[in-house]
Amino acid sequence: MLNNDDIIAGCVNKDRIAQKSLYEKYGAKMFGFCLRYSNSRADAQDLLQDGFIKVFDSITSLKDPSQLEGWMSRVFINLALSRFRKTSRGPIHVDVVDVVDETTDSVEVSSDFMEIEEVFQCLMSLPENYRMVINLYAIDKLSHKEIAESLGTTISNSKSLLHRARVLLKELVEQQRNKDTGKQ
Amino acid sequence: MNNKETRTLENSNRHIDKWLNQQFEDFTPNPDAGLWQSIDAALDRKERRSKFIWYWLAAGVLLSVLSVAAVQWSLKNTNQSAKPTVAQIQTESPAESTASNQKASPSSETPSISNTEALNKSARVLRKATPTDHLNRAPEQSVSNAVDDLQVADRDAYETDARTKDFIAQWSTQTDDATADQIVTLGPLSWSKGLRKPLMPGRWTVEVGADANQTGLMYRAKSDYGNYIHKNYFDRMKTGEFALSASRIQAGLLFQLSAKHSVKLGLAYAENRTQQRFDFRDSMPATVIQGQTSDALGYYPIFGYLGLGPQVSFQSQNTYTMLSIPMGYTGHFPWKKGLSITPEILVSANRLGISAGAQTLDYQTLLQKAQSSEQFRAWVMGLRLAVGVEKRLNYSHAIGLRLNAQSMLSPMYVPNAALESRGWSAGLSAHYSWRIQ
Repeated sequence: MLNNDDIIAGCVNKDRIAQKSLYEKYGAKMFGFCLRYSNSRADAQDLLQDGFIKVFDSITSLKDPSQLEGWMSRVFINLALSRFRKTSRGPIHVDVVDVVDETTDSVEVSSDFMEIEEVFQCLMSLPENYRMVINLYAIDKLSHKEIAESLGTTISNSKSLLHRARVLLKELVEQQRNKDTGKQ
Repeated sequence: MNNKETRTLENSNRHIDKWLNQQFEDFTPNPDAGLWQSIDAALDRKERRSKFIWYWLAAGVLLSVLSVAAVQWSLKNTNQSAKPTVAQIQTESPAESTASNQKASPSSETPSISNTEALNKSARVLRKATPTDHLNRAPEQSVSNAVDDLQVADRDAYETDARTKDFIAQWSTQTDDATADQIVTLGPLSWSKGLRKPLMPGRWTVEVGADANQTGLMYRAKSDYGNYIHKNYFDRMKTGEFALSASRIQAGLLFQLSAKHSVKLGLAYAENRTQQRFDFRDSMPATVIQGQTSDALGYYPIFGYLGLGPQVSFQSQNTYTMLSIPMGYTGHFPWKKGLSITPEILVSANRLGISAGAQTLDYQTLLQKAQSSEQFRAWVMGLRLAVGVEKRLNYSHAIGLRLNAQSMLSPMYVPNAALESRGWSAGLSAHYSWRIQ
């Protein structure tokens, strides 16, 4: 496995092996990221593909190789935000697909995976703008100012959306917990 | 999820953020196994497209350099090969003029006329002097001078023609003193060269030319028809295109309204080739609910998407031919030394032909399908904007280059199809024009 410096140097030279190594190293991490910002698994795969192409195109602008993961996250965030801005003006497709990875059929994995899956389901049940704000603020640590600028809204509006998102998420988690308790 | 976590969750907003962050810290689900192949193929396409654009750019630069060199060569050639046809014309008395003619041969003399106004003045003086002058000249000089006088007389007569004045005015603004001399001696404007029948400046010009363009297709959904088209169609079509060319030949007839403004009617034939390569798996439309309004191609709105569909992997070449009748405005604005800026605005009615049977992507299912001419309009309207430079080689002939951009005003698919695709092209065109005398 190549180290980060070799991978970056290879990607700068458009070496396909280095590009594949970068994908193999960060693909799963970035896919988790894409799933949080997408309406479906198919959308997330599209975002992942476009994101990696963007990363390969602009890797020359990466100044500090130790910041590779953070820089990639920022590229993916910008891409997700750009998609959000586009789709929020156009028609919104209702997705009928579960976001569960159908290829994961191991029992041990699924018992661990269920918890995160439940959390993920709760997150996905939020309206898209709520989900976007809570993702950006709580998980990706952007400030309200940055969120407001990215979404083209005001700081107070961003705070308001975050508050509503937290309230709704709590309710959803409660419902999920009650469902789990009922099952037991 | 345990109770402790939930209790913590209820306590404070800060904790819900922290809890959420922890939950997703190691969230690394595996993407689809074939995804790297899609990225790999997309990178390949991107590289090919970028190479293709560089080829076009290089070809454009080469064409420009060759054209400029051809113009320069042509100009130089004209200067070297042309011989004075008008004897020395001086703004002096007839007697002095005769004496001067006897001293020097016509071919060795440099004309002393430095501008058009002086030329006109001297022409009038000469014309008046002609009858008595002939008696004082040697026989060979007499013939030569008679020819010259005839030329001047011809030109004098032309001045009464308003259109000629326009033409002279246009030329005199384009020329400096040195080239004004050339006009007299060399003949870009010597339309009465020798003993030819006097020529009238024509208002009609024939123009022929060719375009070397880069082309492309613009895709968008008809308003309110967004749900009829697969959510990834526009991206897929765009990234799938890798080789696009548009060659066009044209012929036109220009009618000059004034020195600077003309109208044009023409005939053109264009072949627009688009090559596309696709290799991907995409999500499939989940439900296509009938009962709502279908578009002109019989599609109903999409509600939701299923998982990944079958692999789409094909390469196709589509050719859209267009027989066009362009009409519009062409300008000739003098710039410097025989060069004019020539803007052009044309609208055209285009008879559209498609390569029926060629493979393309269905805009609802994203599966490949054969193109059918029934899905396309027979006629589409187009707009062409161009601006460039024209070099007048002499009174009759001119060559020029223009940067052109053209686009379809009406979409290619039949009316009320959800997808509106329009072709565009941009590039360099070269033309030759011949003024009918």
